[in-house]
Amino acid sequence: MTTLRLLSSLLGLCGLCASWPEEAPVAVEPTTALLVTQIPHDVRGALPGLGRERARTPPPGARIVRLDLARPTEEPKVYVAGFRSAAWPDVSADGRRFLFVGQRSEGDAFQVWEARVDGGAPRQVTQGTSDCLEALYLSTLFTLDAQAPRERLGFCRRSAAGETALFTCAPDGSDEQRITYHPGGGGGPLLLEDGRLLFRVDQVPGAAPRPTPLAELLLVNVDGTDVQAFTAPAPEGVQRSRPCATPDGRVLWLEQRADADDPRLVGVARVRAFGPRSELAVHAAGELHALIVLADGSLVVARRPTDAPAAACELWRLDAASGNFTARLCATSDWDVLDATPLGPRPARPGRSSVVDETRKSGFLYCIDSRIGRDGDTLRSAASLELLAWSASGEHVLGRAPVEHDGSFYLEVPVRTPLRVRALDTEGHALEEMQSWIWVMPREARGCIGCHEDPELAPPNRQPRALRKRPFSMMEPTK
Amino acid sequence: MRNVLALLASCFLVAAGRAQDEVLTSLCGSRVCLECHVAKGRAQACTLEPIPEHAASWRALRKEPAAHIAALTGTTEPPTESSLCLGCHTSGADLGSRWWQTSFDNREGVQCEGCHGPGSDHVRARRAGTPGEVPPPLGIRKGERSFCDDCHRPRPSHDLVLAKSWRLAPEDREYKTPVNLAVAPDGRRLFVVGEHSNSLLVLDVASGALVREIPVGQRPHDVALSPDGSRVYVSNRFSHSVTVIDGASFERVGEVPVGDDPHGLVVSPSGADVFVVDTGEDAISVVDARSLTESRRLVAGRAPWSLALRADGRSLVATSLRPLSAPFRTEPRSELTEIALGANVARARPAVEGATMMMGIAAVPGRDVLLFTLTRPKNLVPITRLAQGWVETFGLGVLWPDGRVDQLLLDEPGRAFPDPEDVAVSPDGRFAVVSSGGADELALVDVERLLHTLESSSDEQRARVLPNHLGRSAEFVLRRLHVGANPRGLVFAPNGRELYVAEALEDAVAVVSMPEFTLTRRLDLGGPRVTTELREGERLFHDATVTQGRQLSCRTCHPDGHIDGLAFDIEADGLGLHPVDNRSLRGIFDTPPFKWEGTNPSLERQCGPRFAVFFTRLDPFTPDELAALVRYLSTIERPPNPHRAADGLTPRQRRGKAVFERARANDGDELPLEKRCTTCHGSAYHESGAVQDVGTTMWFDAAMEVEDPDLEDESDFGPMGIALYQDVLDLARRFDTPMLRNVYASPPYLHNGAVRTLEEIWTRFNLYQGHGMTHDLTRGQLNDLVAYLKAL
Repeated sequence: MTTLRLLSSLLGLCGLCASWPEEAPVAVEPTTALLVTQIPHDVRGALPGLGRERARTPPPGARIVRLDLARPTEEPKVYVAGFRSAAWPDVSADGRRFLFVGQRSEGDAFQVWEARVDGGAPRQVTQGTSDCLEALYLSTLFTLDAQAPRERLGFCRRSAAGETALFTCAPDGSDEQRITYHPGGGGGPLLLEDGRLLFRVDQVPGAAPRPTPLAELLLVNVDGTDVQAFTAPAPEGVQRSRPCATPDGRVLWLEQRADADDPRLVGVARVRAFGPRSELAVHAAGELHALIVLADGSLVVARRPTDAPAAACELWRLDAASGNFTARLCATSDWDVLDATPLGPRPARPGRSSVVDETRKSGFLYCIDSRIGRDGDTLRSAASLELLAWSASGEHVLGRAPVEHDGSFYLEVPVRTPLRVRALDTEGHALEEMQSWIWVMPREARGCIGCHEDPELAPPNRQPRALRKRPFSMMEPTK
Repeated sequence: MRNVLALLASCFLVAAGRAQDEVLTSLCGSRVCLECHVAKGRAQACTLEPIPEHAASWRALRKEPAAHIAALTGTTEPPTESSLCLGCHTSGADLGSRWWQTSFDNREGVQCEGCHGPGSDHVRARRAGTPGEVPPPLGIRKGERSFCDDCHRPRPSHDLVLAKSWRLAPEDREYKTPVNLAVAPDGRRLFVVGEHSNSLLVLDVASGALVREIPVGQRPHDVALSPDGSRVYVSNRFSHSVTVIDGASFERVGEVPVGDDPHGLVVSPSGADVFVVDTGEDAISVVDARSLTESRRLVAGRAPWSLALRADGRSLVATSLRPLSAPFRTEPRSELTEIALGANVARARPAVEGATMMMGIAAVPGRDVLLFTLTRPKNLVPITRLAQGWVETFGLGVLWPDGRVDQLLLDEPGRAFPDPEDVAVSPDGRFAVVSSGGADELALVDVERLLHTLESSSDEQRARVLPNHLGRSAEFVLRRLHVGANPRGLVFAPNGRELYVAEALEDAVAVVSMPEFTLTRRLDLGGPRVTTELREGERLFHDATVTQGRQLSCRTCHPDGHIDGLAFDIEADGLGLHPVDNRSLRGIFDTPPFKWEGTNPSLERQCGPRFAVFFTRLDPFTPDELAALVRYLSTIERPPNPHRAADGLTPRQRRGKAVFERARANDGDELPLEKRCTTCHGSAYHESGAVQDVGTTMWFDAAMEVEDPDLEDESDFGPMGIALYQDVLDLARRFDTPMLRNVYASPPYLHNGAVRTLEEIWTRFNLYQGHGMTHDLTRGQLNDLVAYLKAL
């Protein structure tokens, strides 16, 4: 429970508790060291640009080094050797190990590797012929068929066709499980303080005009359940950096509008991401490639200044109050900084106890009242619904089901399948439809408040009439 | 056919069966028995005699292990005075001393009448009879030796203490557990209620020193001062009393008996009356401060919790913990009670829709409004996720001068504010502070902003949106502050510069500087420095951070280790199906199996992996945590039963006991064993340790086979469809036989909470007499039976 107490303390506005040593919110010693991904400065076009930080595989020559911000003149220490390309380290909660993705030789797939911070040969975690990218340590996972919670690792796997999704596996690479099924892929995972994964999906390739998720940020449990929007999608034409979490409970990212010079530093409260967001213009930014939050909450950006287009992309400290770059943190003239992460321990995240049962072929989707809209508005009553599914061939109707008089419905649905719902009137005309995709995992019972529910609204306390009956099966396609 | 059965069931109260003879016999004691039954082999002599262990059983209660066993049974009295312990260790406990003849000595342990029943009639007949005439034999009470199992059944409490040598740690008895506090009018003294130490602690505010520790009644809860500070009043939950203390000398002035389980109390502005809520009997006692007697008792909401004076001093308002009775599977609705001072009569009972657990309450100076804490449960929605307020939401209620009630949440979308225990308002009326016992957190509320949020919203928004909105708290919650374990009572210093926080499981009082809202000091109450296993378990029980999003703690549904009066829909047994009534945790350790389905043989299992998967959704408890939690659960106390007089059962309860134990119907026919109360409820706890089908399968206990039934229409399917499941679908289910100790305190009843009163169990829901042969009972017999059950 110490972990949970630490988390609780962390959530409880740590700055206010300084006078209580026994309740100190985070027993973590901030360090000034970073693990940094560098690429040779002469690899043109290798830097991805804002919003695409990890969308491509790292270029050849990418390496992981240790930099100490307290010793800016010290020569960076190369951490892993023997790789054609190695990038994107993620440090374990105890600060002793780190994951990274690496490619031994040209033609090999990128795999997840783990190494000790204090040295030694890395060990390969994942296998297979497709690229594994963006590895990270997750919280533990517990299921009823296990004796104890198990450690899990996460990563993004990209198929030969370019489709991406998030996967988890045991520390030895076994028991690989796919946990996201969004048609827009899945990448940029970030483990939040509450143990859930924040990740990004892109425009659905070849999708119909609706839904149109644009760089949408979603939340999902590490067992793949309860996927939901984290915050409002970015407006069209706006590029968002990979988000970061701060120790005081905010999630930050950089946004760049096509019609604006200065990018903006955007922040939302983790516990209220649909609430007000802070925006700060970042002045004289230049070319930005990654936003990094250090253990003390200060911000660092991988940046190539506007006035030095031929210079290396380096780490700069960004003042979150003024939006000004206050210091260049280290000189890496032969190398561009691609990304960085603090080196050192951090609070462990709470684990997940999961209902997912891999022996089940179906899950459940129920809605309390499809008439409930945003801010509690009442939508038109639906007589029935269409369940839409996504597959490699695109979107298709899985079937129709009745909607009860109280607006509720209860469906048995196929698992691991992108789904959305379209409400129909008595004549079969569409009334409303979900703007995003969800899925259910085996045995998961996914509940929704309404078709256009307000994410800040708790459900009404009433028993849905549909739950008085057996679920309507959507397991067979409509003929 | 079903209609006929329903008619029969509803009419049985007036059935003209032959009334059971009143059996008001008393206990004579073994020595009287031995006047005739002198030796084995003689006619009617006990074939088991001698049984030294029976004779020595009372003496065992005086030995050291007995106190530890008692702790694991939820017993608050010494073992030699506990009706539960005495139930198996003597012969006369259940009846009580008023039914003992002078020849009966309880200390002689289990005597002849322990198995054969009270013998006074037998003896009287023998003595009055002609020589040689043999009175009717008494026989073993239940007619078979399985009766012995009622006591001779393995009990975890005895096994743990006697076989594994478990003992309470010395420190377990030394914690103070501050739950509420009050400050003297001059601000120099702080009065802190120590729930576990049964004391009132007086602190010097300036130095933080403990000035005095004054013994009060058992399990004190709240403290209030007269306006001039000359008197201090402390409510004692288990003593059913208010202790009166001189505010200057700190000497006890007296103790006033009040109703059952008194909690909050407040003194009228004139100091003439003290109002105390009787949580156990839904009442408010008015105590005359001069005569120190209860002058009036008023009806309150269900389980009233605390009180506050309106700012104008003309009335006071009581909150209530549990919802009013409501139709099956409908949204809960609770009630505030407003009492007009002077006349001391209830003048309004504002309803609070959808809310329960209204606990702390405080008036806003300068504004004629009161703020009170509340919980808005989602018990009708399946517990399938712990996000977005899916299971519980927590907030504040606002009572306006005209009786209008508003509700706002203190939660945030991704983080709840669990178990709001108390609210205090600064003397200038600017700030309100609310304590979250489940998150060890305080919320600082800007009162004007809160009221503006309401006043600027439409009626529709106030009725439907604000009570469920998780984001609006940002408009009026200025800051949140982490404090020590399990903050409960709050009080402002008279000058408003400091706020005092009772950190119940930290054994301390935190001092918060205002308006900075920063922690400046912690006042130590002198409790143990170590955290025992039991204490750790108590902290876990109250800790909502063990659940995703801090959605709930064990305490959320089990305040005071008891119930919230709700039935929840748990995912594991099917969505929309099998709603389960929340059961009390008081004194449950010896009553496995657990869950209504009886599938969990131990508390370790009950709180184990499935609890993590279907409730907390975070890491399961570690073995050490689980052991600590179970140890705390095992020791949750069962309050003394106010329905049971100190000298035992009343004549009505005695008659009810006879009905409970009857083996023959009113027409003289022998009752089949499975139709007798004692077959399933005969043990010391009045449970059987097994599941039974008693014909109570209802709607939602299986998937509906009938389209849109009207749940209140009994004509076709019987009450809640029990005729359907009994006759048609053959889907009858078996449920755990609940213990009946303190059953009076646990409505609603049966596995799904569909039954609002004990009487209804037999007047509405025993259509087929599966729950005992009761259709021949007269109205008087049923009332007697219920009176007896309430005395258990």
